[in-house]
Amino acid sequence: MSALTMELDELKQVWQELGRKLDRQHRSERLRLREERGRRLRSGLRPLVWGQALQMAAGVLLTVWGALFWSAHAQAAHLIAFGLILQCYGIALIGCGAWVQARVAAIDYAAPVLTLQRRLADLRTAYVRGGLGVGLAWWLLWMPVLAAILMSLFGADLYRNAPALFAIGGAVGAAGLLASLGFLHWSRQPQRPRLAKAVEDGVSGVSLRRAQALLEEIERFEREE
Amino acid sequence: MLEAHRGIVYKVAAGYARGEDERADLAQDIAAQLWRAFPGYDPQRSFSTWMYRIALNVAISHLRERSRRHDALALDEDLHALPADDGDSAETAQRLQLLQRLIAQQPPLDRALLLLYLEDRGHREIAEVLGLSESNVATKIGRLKQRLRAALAD
Repeated sequence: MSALTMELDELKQVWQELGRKLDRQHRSERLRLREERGRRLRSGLRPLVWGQALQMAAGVLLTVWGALFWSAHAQAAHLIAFGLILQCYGIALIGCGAWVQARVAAIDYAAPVLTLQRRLADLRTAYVRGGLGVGLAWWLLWMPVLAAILMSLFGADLYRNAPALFAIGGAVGAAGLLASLGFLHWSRQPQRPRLAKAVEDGVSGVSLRRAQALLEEIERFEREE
Repeated sequence: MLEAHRGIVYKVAAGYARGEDERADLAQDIAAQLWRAFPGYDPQRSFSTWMYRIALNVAISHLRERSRRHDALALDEDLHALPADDGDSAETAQRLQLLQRLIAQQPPLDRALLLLYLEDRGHREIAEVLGLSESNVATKIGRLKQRLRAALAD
């Protein structure tokens, strides 16, 4: 009988034959499988974990710098405020990073396939959205950061020397932040699928696109009757 | 127990990887994850169900990662094919190739369903592994059989 005329029931027999064949091929590799356990663990999530580790490291630096900054300039309320902003942002970076790391560490590969795949997609979505939040904060954050750098390096008080910069920068930053959020919301309306895709690809790269594609695929698989 | 069921690892790896090296890598990933998760295994529950969940989750993630890297996943039957055993007849080799082609044509989640079907797992266990209801599994298996019959008839 030709394999091309194989019946459905025979597929299971062939599958068993495949299993026996694989067992023969892999028998000699058993030891290697044990020795190398953990080596390639969670390779797909590694970039995410490393990215969060870097974010947490940056958060620690900002937190320490912010604390040193405001404690060194305790005589000026605005400098204390700048230091506290840096410190709070640093803590937020650490917190977001730690949250993602904890979620990655808590991934249970023994969960039902659809459950785990959905959790992975949710995790990636949260990661990308968290990154978006951390990034958008720079519409306003650049001012205290610039002021702290200038004060730390040159002893120049930007706020006292150029208060208009903060007024204008704050207004532009707030407007920019609102416009960014508004545009993101507007672009995601169902009637603009192509724009939404272009914006998401541009803003958040492939991670969110993959996560959303994965969620859609899971939903389609569950729905398919 | 992991050793006794090692065939699951190899077969799932063969279902989701292309080529010998990738298959070995994926089998290692699955084995690593199984060893890591083993302390959390509840002996009151089915070992094979637990093992299938982990193996398929790792394999699906692997396939998605590979799809992302290569963007479009080209179906290359030669890459999927296992190296021939000396003991294989031409007919066996042809059948194995056809089976691997059928598996490779399925999207990641359908592939999991197909592997469990080929393993002759009951609807209840498939439902537990995938996280579906038993009735949904029954429907999906019915659809899967139709697709397989159509593919075999081509």
